[in-house]
Amino acid sequence: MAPIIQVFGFSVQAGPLAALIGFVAGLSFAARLARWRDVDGAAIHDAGFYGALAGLLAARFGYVVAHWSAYASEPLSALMPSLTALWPWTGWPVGLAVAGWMLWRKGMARAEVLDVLAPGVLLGAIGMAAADFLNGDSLGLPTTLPWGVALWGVVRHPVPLYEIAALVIIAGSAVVSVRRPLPAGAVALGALAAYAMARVAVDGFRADGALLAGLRVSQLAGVGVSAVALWLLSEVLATSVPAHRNPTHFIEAESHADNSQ
Amino acid sequence: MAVQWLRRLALAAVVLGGLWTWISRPEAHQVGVADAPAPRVGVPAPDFTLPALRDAQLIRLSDLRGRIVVLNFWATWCPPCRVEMPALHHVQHSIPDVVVVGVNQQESVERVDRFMREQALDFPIALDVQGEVNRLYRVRALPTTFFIDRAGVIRDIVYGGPLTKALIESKVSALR
Repeated sequence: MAPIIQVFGFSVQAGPLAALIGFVAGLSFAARLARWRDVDGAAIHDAGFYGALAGLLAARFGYVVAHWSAYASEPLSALMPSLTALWPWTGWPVGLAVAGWMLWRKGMARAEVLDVLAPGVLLGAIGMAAADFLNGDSLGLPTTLPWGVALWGVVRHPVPLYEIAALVIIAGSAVVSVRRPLPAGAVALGALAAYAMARVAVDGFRADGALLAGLRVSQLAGVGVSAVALWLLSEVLATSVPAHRNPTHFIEAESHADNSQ
Repeated sequence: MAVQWLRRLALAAVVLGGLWTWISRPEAHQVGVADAPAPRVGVPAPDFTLPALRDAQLIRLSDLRGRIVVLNFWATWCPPCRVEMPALHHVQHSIPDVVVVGVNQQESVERVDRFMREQALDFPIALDVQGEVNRLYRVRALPTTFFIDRAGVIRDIVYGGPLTKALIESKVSALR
């Protein structure tokens, strides 16, 4: 666990740095994958960047408004950037709304975009899991297994590392899938189902998190999300026409054969 | 074919996922394992006793239970620490039931006392001459500030600075 690391003589918070690297890498990766699905990669990049910027500003504004009694006497201090003075309840909705609006404006509110974004989002999640590990968050249950990690005086399951391993496999599979001629939305739904199942498996080793009737809420949610995502995936596959069975494909092939004769 | 297979997989996800959720449910004694004192959010702050700068007294963290504690690790050679000192002083004197404790890092009594007098600061200062509380709280950078609630549980940690008066007040108001 190393919440603070030294970079060129400067003390840097490792958790936010890992999350930032994950976000930038994920966004760049999604933009690069876009060409495989005939999607505008530059538009994805812009939507992600401006969405994040708007989200940060909204999170800061929300924090100041929520604590206005403290900021009223020195309102200029609201302009000082602080990673610990952000309000996620305004940041996430505004960030997602701005990114979504930018994609919609470019006519990119399509399932193919979600397919392209899926590996990038998973890459970002790897950054978040790395941030959890470096911060010493996401405590695991005590273990005697040789790969246990000493955290706060107890050897525990390294839950964020399990999550990273699962995310690497899912992200790799999603990258391979994006390049295949699958129906629009199939990659995103497959990645969502796989991630939800991974959370059900991995969170079984967690020592923290909310409980409902003695069961972990995250696992219960994961079971529901994976089942719904798999069902929707089956519907997408059932209603889509694969490329090699597309009637127009045969018509084009036949006309091409006629022309060649 | 793939459609049928996926629908069976959805059913299997519910059955097997539900089964694993039940099997891996935490036992009552496992839920509390994360509650041992540690310098992290959501668990009790590690207790310590250090000599105070003035009055030849000791500062014991557990004696401050029942009040909100702002525990600030600092040193006179640290520029952002020096900048945020007046804000900490203001909070100590303007908000009732809040105690600001500055834990000075391995400096001489004379040096710390001179700095406090020059700046006209008078909130409690604990002298961590050996750096033992620094190690206990795993402080890797100065300043680092812990916000501790009335029950002695760490509710927020701010790495770096300088903290503004408004930021400290907002963190404290969340604990009131």
